[in-house]
Amino acid sequence: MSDLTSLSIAELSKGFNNKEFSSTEVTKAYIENMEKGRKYNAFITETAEHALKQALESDKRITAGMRLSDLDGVPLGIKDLFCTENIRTTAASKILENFVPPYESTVTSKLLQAGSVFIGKTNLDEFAMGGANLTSYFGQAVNPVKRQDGVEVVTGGSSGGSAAAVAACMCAGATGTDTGGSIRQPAAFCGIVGIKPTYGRCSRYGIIAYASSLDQAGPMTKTVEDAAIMLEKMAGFDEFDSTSADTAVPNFKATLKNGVKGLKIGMPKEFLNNDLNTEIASAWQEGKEILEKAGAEVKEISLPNMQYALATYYIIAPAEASSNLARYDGVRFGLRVEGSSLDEMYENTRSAGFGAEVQRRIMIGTYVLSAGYYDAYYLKALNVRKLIRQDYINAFKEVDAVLTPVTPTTAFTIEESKKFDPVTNYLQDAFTVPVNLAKLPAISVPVKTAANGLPIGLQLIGKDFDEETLFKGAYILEQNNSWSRK
Amino acid sequence: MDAKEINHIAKLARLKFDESGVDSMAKDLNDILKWMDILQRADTSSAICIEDAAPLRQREDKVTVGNLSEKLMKNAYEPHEHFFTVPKVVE
Repeated sequence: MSDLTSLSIAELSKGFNNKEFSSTEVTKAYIENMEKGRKYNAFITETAEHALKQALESDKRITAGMRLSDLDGVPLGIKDLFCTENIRTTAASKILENFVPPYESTVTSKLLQAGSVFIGKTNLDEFAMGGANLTSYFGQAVNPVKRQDGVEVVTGGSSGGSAAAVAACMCAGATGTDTGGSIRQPAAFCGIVGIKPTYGRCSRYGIIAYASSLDQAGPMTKTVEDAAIMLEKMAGFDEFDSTSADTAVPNFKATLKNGVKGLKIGMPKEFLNNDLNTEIASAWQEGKEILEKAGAEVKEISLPNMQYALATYYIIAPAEASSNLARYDGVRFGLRVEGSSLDEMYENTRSAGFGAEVQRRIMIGTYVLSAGYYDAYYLKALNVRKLIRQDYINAFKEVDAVLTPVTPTTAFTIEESKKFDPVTNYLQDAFTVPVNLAKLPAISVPVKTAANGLPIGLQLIGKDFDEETLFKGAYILEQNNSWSRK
Repeated sequence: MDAKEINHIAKLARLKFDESGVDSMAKDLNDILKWMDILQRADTSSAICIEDAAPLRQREDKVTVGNLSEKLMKNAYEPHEHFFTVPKVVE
């Protein structure tokens, strides 16, 4: 029997159905990898004992022929931003270091109902604010994929622990969240698949909020098929989230191998400029050729307002964050640092509990919402956001999906990541943030190995609630790519 | 932004910085705000609100889960019976 942890979710599911191995055996193999892989710092909290109990329950169902779904018995990593009942949930922040949620998030609750096994809570940037997993209070996660010269590189972020855990076979799949690229960028850096669904597709109930109008949950997996399997179970209407969409969830797996013949794909000319890294540009070109060969028609399109996306995002996201993070005041939960007055207690608690990047974003957000600056920054950004969505709506009159790079470069080194100033950091998100601003779905899939040995990913962006087209396109890219997971 | 403005915003955000913290925050925020100036070039006169993928909804205000107080209080800092405690606010 091949190594159980190298199997995809689809392969595990088949093996469970054929009684080739048990969930307990698979879970034990993953726990062993999780313990061996501690050098990657992918998990904040390991829940091995809990996982083995769940696996045992799953095995009883499998033996009785009562398997709940393709995910029954499958060990998953859960980003430590999802509230899990009675399991510590930290958002990688000192302020929530000892927080134990009294309830379960909707997404994790759905995954539990599907029978999946939770192996641990994965590392992330503090409150999902960052793109290198550098801002975690629990230390930076390390990319299991090394550069050819052996130098360690970042996982990306914010879902860096989830990406590392999947890439190093410490879980079969993991949940992520994506506010400005936090699923797609780490997926690209670690050579795995990640999809940010349409805003409203997955419930945000119980996900610790960063920027509520942008946050969305999604799966991070070894294969496109696995992402389809996982998303189907994570998605669906939830009355506890007023932005949850009352839209039927398709059987993504059923159509993912239907091909892309006749599909129209756009490549935005605004991204094709001299600043683009040549290797990323050539991977983009290769992606285009793969899709054309499979029968898709690829054409140039224009998204004229993309140049404004980053600045728009870095006004709207911190504005919402400054409001969302007001609840961490030392009163009802989380860290408290005493002070002589109530206000002093608030200030002491928040200054000690939040890291530098979180404090920076709270400051930006408070500033752009403050009297005298609201119109010039926040209101302006809201209006530019409308233009950005309009750009895509116009493009979708001509094409079914849009193909772009995910990241401006391959993963940077841990040393480099520590030297970036805030603006340099923010520029890493150029290809991913416009999608969140427009509330559209997008999938990141590895297509090529760069000369330095690191993976390069491409992104397919789709119409509202048309994740099906993305899975079809990504499947073709995956079957024909030159990056292979080891 | 100067030190005075940083301290004002920090007060609104219930954060506080020492002198070197104020200086580095002022530098970072000035760099970031300068970079955001690009937005002033965007012509938003034609910006129209396109219907969102998922319009906002409201639900009936009814209790669906109850009796969580024991569990909720477990996360509180030095609770007194079923009460949260804070520094004295009234003399």
